[in-house]
Amino acid sequence: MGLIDQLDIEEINSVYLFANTPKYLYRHLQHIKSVQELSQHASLQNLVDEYNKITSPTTKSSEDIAIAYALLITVTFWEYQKALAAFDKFDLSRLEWGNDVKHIFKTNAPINTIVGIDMKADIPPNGLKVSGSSTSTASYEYTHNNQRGGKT
Amino acid sequence: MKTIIIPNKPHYTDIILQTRIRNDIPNSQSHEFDSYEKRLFLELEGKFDKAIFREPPNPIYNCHGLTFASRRTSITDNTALQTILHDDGYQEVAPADVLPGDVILYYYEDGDVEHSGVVVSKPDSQLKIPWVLSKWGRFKEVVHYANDCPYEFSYFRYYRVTKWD
Repeated sequence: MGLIDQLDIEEINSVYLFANTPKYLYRHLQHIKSVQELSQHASLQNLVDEYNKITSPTTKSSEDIAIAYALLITVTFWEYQKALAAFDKFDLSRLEWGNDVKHIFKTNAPINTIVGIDMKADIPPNGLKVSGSSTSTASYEYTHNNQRGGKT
Repeated sequence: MKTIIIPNKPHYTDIILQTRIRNDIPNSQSHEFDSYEKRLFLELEGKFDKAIFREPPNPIYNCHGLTFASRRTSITDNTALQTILHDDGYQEVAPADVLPGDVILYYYEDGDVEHSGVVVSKPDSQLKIPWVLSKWGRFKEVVHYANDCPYEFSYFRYYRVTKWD
């Protein structure tokens, strides 16, 4: 069974056809179960290969375009850094909202670093120092990797 | 069935579009459409039997293009919509005060504007819901009950141009 055979084409098409904005497309494709499941079965390279095949400028149909968006959305279920690197392998200019999808993904980046300020601490006249410095007295940093919990 | 490409035209174009006080609004016109897409739309029409579908389908403009750009282009940027509301003098109208000609915006729970349209009737006396003219993505213009469409109707607001100076 090919990659595309695993997708619910009818559901993907209806999202694509009714999408007024890239955000609508992104959000509703992410909610489709077959798109989520494909991220468990396909490799990133499989997705890139399939995308390149169906978005060939001379052959693509509207269904190909809808599926191509679904393949891009599948990437968003990977661990953030791997997914971000994968986006560079797609020719996003082949789709009207290809770069928008990447942009939305980036703006939804997981929070890896939380910086807290101790308001009771004495703040030196020259301001706060970067946390991690041995002389810092007014700030601390907490880092938690892979908070998104995506596919690794 | 392959995409129809209009000869000597790029797939996507844009136009100069500005608010009343001349802030530029990013926009895009799609020139891609195919018969497969048209067939799918016809199948989807059947799910909305109370709605009136206006011919023909048109990928050039989207819902926001119908509501705010006179059917000339698509507007897809949420920030641009907020700029239009501000610059063009729109103010929110309470649902009980809605009149034909007002604008309805459909919000997703995170504040993103998923859809928009123009109110074409006073709210129904029983359901308190008006009829709306809107454009469904790349598909047709549709006249429909505000809650009878493929977009989330949980968070919506009505607007009217009330400020002119």
